[in-house]
Amino acid sequence: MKTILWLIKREYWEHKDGFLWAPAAVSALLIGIMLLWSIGKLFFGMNGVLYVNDVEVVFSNVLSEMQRNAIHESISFATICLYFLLYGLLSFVTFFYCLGALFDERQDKSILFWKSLPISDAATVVSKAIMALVIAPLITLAITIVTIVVLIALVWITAFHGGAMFAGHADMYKDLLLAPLQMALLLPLHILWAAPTLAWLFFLSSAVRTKPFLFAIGIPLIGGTVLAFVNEGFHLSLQMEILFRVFSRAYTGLFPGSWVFNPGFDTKPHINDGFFTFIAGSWRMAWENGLWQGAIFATAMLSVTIRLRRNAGEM
Amino acid sequence: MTYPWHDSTPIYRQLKEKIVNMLLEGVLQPGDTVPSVRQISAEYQLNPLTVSKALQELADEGLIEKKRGIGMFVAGGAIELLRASERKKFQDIEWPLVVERAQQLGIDLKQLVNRNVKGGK
Amino acid sequence: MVASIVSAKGITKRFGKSIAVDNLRFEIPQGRIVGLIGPNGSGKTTTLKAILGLTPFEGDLTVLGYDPRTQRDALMQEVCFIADVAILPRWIRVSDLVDFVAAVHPKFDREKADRYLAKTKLKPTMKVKSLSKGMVVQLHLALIMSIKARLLVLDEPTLGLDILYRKQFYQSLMEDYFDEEMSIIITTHQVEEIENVLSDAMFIREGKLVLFESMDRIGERFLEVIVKPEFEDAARELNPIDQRTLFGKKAMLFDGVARDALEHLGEVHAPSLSDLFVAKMTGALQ
Repeated sequence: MKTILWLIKREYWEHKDGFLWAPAAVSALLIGIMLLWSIGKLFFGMNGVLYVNDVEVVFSNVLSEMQRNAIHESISFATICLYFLLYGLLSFVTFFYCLGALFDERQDKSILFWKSLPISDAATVVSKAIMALVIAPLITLAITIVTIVVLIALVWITAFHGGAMFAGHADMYKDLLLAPLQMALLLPLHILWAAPTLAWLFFLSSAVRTKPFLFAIGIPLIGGTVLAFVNEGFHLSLQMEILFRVFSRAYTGLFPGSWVFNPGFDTKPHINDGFFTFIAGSWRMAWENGLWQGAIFATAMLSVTIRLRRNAGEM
Repeated sequence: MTYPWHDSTPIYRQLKEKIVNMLLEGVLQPGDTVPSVRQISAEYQLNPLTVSKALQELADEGLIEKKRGIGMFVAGGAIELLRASERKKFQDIEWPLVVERAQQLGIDLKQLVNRNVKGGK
Repeated sequence: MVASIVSAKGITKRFGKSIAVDNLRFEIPQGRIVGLIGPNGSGKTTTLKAILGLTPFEGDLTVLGYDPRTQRDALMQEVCFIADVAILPRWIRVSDLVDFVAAVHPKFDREKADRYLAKTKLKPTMKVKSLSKGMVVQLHLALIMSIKARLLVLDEPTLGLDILYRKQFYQSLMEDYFDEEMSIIITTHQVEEIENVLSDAMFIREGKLVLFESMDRIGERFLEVIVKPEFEDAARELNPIDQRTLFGKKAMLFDGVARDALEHLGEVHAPSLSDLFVAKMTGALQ
């Protein structure tokens, strides 16, 4: 197991830019903007009036119900934006990471070095999967938490200077701080849900000789179009709907939480549900939308990928 | 006439000759350490088996001796042994060839010896 | 009897209709340095790949007692190879690479690695991509020499390096690494460079083994004669395996003809390995 840990370390070293520095940069940017706001408020007078959701908020000791709600909503909104930004970035980076995972090493021939060490192909593929499905989301999560804390702190400091005891409303912050915990607990779900996407991209990465991105985009696009025409032309009643869902799953799977974007029943989880309700609801949602089928597909695809890497000895 | 190809003697023999020359010229003295097989093969980029063979023959001829656990040394009487065998070689093989060649070219050997001993180097 | 490190009992590899390697048979004992020499496309790379478990093949091949197809992971603990000059990952730092190999390879000796690296200009924080080709090879060699392997496979290890690095490469190998318990297989186009380091030579052409002899035996078997014109016919009677023109004279190569039988025909020398190779490649298949 020591080997797999070191393999994961190696993935981290190699892809630090995308998995660490990119989200850190986004976070720094947001904090920077917030900082400017804070500085502006601090040094250019607290007499400024802040409009939050069209509700006038003056920084004073006591906030009214309406003001508090307005602040609450805007903070929620800001947080959601933050999540989408950072997790969107993560999906994007992970997508390209997967496409390159077993391709880049063949391109620059470093595979011949890795194969000269006693490391199995299975360990290699598994370590890359763990990097993509576990480590990368955790890094993003950590950065998210830090960003939220810093942003809140900035708001507090600014407000405090303006005389407002901002700390009052516990409700406002409960969601913010519990949300990362929810994300962490949903990690196992994310792993299972994203696995088929990952396996499909890994397969392309190990199978094609050139430009895996073209294959990744081309196959569903062309395949889907051809099938659509065939469907129309021959009046087959193919379930295009299912195909579309498969494809969209394939390409959104890496976005943690994308299981909520499925046609579902009324039991669609909502972020305002209770803590555990949300988690349980998410699992149910995913289960009803092909979770285990995807897992089986992923296992099969990964086996094929490992096989392909075993025979990939270019010299 | 020299042709740009491999020498007619095997490498191990050339290595032997090299060491023998070092002895004759006094570069290697009796009692000196002989470098290890590994060192020689590294320095001259030769296969260790080749080097071993050369050193073994030198040992067989009594020119170097192996001391267990310590290494290889030039044997005490190596120089005398060498001189004796080289002398024999010169007298039995090399000299007759020179004589034959001189006769072929019509050189008077006595004159040659006088000239070299008196004037020259 | 010395154990065989590589035992090939008829290996064949096909690529579609063409045969890369055709029923090769050979045994490589322990303690040898074997040169695998052949033109491009001769099957020498395929042979190496088969030995290293990098390609499937038909037939029977045992390397250090393992089948490279099914026991590759175990095999890789005792085999090292350098496949090409520039295959170290470019993004990695020297110290990280050493840490990685130390953690992952059970036979890696950290102290040795540090010692070898201390002799070079390599610093722990340097990234591989900033190193010159020669320094990359030094790094790779330092790693390899710190692993107690029983077989080392080198595929053109000094390709593109300048002469100083090339000499240093073989010098380091012989001085600090090679011993009787291991074997080395080298392929290279610079045959002259390694000729004296080899204990055996394997010539391969069109997938077939054309020669596999120890250097000692080669010295005994093959002799080249610059034939005096008056003896040309007599020389041809002895069935030379090849002939070329050298300085306006005919030079004939003989296999297995006694030296005494040739001395009167002209000047007799042992051919260099590269000349022998050329003769074997262009002459009729022996």
